[in-house]
Amino acid sequence: MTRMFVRLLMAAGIVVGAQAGQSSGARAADLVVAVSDNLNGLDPHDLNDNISQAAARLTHEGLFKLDRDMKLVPGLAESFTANDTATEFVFKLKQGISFPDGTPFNASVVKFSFDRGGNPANNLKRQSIYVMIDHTDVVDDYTVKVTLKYPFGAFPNNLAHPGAMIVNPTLVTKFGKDFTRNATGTGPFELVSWGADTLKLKKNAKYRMAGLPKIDTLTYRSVAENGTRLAMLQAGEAHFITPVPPEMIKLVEKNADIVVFDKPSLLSLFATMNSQKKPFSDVRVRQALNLAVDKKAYSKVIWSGYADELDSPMAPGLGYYSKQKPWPYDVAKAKALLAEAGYPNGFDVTITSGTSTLSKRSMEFLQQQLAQVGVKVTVESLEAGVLTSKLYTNPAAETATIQMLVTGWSSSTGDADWGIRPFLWSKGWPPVLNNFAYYKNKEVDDAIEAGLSTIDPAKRAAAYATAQKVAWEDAALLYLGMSHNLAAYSKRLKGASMRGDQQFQLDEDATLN
Amino acid sequence: MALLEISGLKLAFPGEDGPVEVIHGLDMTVEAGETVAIVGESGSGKSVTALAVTRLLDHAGGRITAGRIGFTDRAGQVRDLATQSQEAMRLLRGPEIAMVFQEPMTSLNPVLTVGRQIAEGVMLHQGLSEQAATEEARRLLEVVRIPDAARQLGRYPFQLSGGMRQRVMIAIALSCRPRLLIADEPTTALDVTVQAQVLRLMRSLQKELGMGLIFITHDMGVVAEMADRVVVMQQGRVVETGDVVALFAAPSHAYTKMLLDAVPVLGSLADQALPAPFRIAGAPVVVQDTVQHGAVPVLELDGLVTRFDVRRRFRLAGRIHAAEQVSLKVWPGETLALVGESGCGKTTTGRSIIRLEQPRSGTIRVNGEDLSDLSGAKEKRLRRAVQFVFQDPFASLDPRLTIGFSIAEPIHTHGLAQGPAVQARVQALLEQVGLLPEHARRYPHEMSGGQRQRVCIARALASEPSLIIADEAVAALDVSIRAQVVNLLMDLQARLGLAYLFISHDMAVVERVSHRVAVMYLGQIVEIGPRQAVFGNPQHPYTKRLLEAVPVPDPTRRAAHAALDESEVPSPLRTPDDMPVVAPLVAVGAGHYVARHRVGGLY
Amino acid sequence: MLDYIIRRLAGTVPVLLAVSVFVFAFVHLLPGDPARMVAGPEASLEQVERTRAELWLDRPIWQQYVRYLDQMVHFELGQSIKTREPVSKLIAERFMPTFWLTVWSMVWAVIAGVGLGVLSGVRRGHWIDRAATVFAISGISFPSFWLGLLMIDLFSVRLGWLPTSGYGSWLSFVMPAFTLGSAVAAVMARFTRSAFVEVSAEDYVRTARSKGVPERGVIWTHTLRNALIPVITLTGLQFGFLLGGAIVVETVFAWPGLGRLLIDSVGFRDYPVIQAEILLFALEFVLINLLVDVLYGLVNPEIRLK
Repeated sequence: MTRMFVRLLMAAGIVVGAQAGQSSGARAADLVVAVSDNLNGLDPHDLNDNISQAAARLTHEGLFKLDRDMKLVPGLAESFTANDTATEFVFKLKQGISFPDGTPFNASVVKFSFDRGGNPANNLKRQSIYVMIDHTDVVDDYTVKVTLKYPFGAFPNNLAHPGAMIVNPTLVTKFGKDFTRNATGTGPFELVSWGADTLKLKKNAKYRMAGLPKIDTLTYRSVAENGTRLAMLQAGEAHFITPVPPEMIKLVEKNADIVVFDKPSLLSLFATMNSQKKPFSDVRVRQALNLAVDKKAYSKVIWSGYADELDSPMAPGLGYYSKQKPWPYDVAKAKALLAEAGYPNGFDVTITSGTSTLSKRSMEFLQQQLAQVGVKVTVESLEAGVLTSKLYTNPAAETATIQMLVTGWSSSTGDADWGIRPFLWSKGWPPVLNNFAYYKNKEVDDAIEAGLSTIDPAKRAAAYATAQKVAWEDAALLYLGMSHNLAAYSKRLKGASMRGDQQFQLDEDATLN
Repeated sequence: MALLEISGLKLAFPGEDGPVEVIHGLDMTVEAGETVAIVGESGSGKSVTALAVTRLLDHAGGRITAGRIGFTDRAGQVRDLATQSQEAMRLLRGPEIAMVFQEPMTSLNPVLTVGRQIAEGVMLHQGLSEQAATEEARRLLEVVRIPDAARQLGRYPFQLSGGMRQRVMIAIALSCRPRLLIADEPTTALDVTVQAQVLRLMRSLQKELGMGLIFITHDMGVVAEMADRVVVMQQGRVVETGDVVALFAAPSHAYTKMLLDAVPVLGSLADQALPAPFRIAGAPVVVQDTVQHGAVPVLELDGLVTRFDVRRRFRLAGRIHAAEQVSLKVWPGETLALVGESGCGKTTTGRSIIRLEQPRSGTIRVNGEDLSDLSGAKEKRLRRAVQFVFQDPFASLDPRLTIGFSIAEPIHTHGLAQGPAVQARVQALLEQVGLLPEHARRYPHEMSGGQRQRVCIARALASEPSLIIADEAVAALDVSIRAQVVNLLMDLQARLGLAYLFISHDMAVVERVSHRVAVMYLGQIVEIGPRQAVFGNPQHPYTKRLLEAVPVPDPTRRAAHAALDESEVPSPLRTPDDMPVVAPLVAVGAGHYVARHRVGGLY
Repeated sequence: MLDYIIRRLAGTVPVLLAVSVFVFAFVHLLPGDPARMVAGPEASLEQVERTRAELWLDRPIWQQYVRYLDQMVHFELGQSIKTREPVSKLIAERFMPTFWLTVWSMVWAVIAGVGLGVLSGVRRGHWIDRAATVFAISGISFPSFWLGLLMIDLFSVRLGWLPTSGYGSWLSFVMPAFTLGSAVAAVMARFTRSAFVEVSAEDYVRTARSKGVPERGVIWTHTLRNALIPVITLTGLQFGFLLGGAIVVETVFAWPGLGRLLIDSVGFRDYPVIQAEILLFALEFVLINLLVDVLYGLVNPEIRLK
């Protein structure tokens, strides 16, 4: 009786299994990407998270774009010229392109898109991309001239940002407030549906590159639980999953059908130190802390080795990166510096960060490391909403309550400007930008501003080299490391990767077979 | 051949240290058409014996360890029920052996209609269709004299009165014409008039069907009413067995004698104006001449009204008129009995006096002071002067407090003693109620029912009250214990000059203890007067009915009250606009008053 | 009955109003700045302030509440702060997945819980009873998070019988409903068993046996029907547990339901969504309680007829 039952059960299982196999066979051309969070919308001008932006990049394109290595390449623009002071840019557009609904792509579409994104009245989340634009003019059908309010050498890089992608004016007008649910541009894929946790796309038949993309349909699903994402990949239900926590990489590596993606990201990780207040107003204290932390141990303990040492405030993948001499791990020297600064027995400090395991473990790691030089750390783990308000609602450096914040920065433009300005520029103290260290150094400020005032690569390189050198040696931050992008994908998938800015990247000629 | 022949029966229940034997070798026989009463106090093993015969014992966790239960079935075959399989027993239960249990309130399934519950057995054993079985159920309801039988079939147990439910139980038991009926205390939970009706019904049905009947009871009055033969049990053994008349006339075993002596016999003080305690062998009769007639009454109720609103969906749907214009007086040293059947309002009246219920109107005077409005210190004085003793001594003692603590509580509350004096007072109180000083350290569960009731009395005495309201205070006790507690109460009255408001349904006990009696019916006092006058010369028809229904523990006087009233007592629930008629009572003798107006339509 | 139901439904209005005040106050008093979170870390100060004004977050809280009430009266739930979508739309597309998950979990919980409870109640002390106890204790103590992942590993990755996650065909319901329902089933099993044992000792069960009713009838007709009356109440209460437990299960099985939405919204201080969801939960609770009361009346004539 029992055996009979088991046999029946197995038979049923085989049938079910076969069905599952069949259906996955039928879905062969459907590429499934599983990510950790829900999309916040499809309107590229109104997104500020990597997952949504990566999805928007499947359906939209900008005048420029960044390739899989974060190199600036032309998108909808054919070519451009700029004046010497980096205040006027003229773009020649590619011809013969149209949106899936037939709306032609031309200069007035570009003007519409830029005007929309930058108009404060629209209050779109990406208006900062356009903030330097004074006005945009249609020169002829395929020529656009953009005049800036002030020199902005990184402008083409700015336009490679997902927030500067060109939207379809017909859809904007048609859907109004609901545009964010219906946006679809000139990108390789076209929107089919988006609801709850699933985005479905299909090949854009009108895509400008003939014969591409080679993938018919694409499903972008949000699966919060790491283990479940991994199971989906193992079961063949998903073909690309990200992120994969470091501790799970070992599980994946054994599977012959799965490829592990492991490359340095552009995310530099650091702890801020409020440099306007004691004890961190003393450069020796900041330097001592940089010497007191074993960065190799950091990589091993926090990232299971999937992180590299920093040798500049910004990651090497960004334009105008300039390598510095890494801070060694030298407890004796750190102690000496602290003594010199008047803290022979260290001091008490509170380190703050979010509630994720990563944040907590990083704070505990620092607590243990800094104890060796006598700095007694209290760990404060704040839920995101609380942390945000604490960081931004108390903007005066003197009264700021957060002494040290474990955080990080990754530039989404691929350029040095957005790679360092938000957290090292003295005009970017909260709530304006994210300089939570309240760092202020005239040399750094001047260099950042000089880098922006020209498009001359040589001048810009020199300016950013200075900025990086000074901020590094001045120990503006407690530099921790630079994490890797970890993802995993099916062997059947070719041409998918994670870009340095932690966004899913699907090359136009990607295949799934 | 006897219908049932039990020999050498031993029963055991599993205990913590192995099986505990509860029946130690029982022998008895029942002939067809014969009624055998098994009497005994709680723990005697009489109910367990009944369960053993039906083998429902197996489901209660017990086991037959020795002996034989010979039963002659319809086919004339003798079977040993002790060894039958459960399935064989199941087929016997219903058509051969049936049972009626004590609690009509819980013995019927609350979610099934009465008709369904009767028809179930009929369908099972007689193979009738559902329709035919329902028709049979209707017929059975008529047999047990339930009016409007067809309509009752669709009703649920909670919609029926206790008496009606017990009739339904009897209908279920009789549905397959069993040859042996075992009735376990079938009338104990019923009011006395209902009991009389049910007993008469059972007797006549037994005669009709020629059944053997085992009647289990603790009530000698009921035994005298029903039995042909009597089996007296004590602690799992038969101590005496014999013909009912012979046994009542000349009990041979000391325990039987004690049981018979302890039974209060209504009418035994008929020629005696004052109450008198139960006789302890050889002691002289002392009458209870304790009433101080000239003094200020300890309690004076004038026009007390207590009603309960019945709301249905936020609307007033009706009112229960629990107490309507109740007026009475109790003098120091006097016992006034408040008698009547369930729902008559006697308990509500008692509870209204100490404000466990809030009266709507009327005045309450205690020791001459108007305490109708309990403001300030008045409440404290009331709580001290009037004490309550409830029916269930277990429920009214906190199981987590020692006896001593429970008794000391009112002493502290009323500031009657401090420090070591409290202990001394507690010990004195314990001795006063016949307990030992060391009992103070015990917990309620370590004491017997009678002891617990003594504790409750001691606690009531602690505040040195002038009046104790005893609400069915002895109803739950075995006869022998009951007599002791009644004597204790009377002794305390003689010594302390206490007054009692003695609420009871038991006429024989009331005759023993009370100086005066008030009869309540549908919330009104319908007759009040000296006990001898009310009992000897009842004027109100309800009083007469109540007294007639009391079973007399004398098998020779069995046919004395043949003309029984089959009617049910009406409900005290009335619609909001239907106010009861209340009129002053009419004097018919010295201190003897009776209602001459119609109360509730029946009288 | 209908009269009663209408009255009860009308009674939910003040309850919901009270819940709305409470939730509104609670949510708005939480520390956190949604304007900053919406605008994102790269936004300028002016942009954050514009967002704040757009969301009315710069107004006094009472004005915000009045606006919120005004919207509710017009059956509007407002707009999500996070995605700017209408809250009604967000909830509508996630309601059915959660609803069906809850229903099937409850079905499983009732079948397994009552079944095991009765089985162990009938076979008291037998090994079946003990096995059911072990199941119940592990069901209560085993985190649904781990149970879910273990099942995914076994049934999806190793055996390939069931889809790992997502809301789709009936196959996709098997693991989430099992996971979510099991903890409840365990509670129900314990409760049913004790109710069953309690009723078994009732006098009317003895009466049934004294009539010669076969054991099957004793169990089904006389014991179970009465034992189920308290179980119905428990079932209603457990619905609340399911709503809570759904959050974990929805996360593990990537179920596009309300639980996930709530987590996301709380993390983001998406006030309108949080408020709407909690109001919805309150409404569901009230409705389930009403349903329980109606059912209670159906099985218990004493309630029905009084």
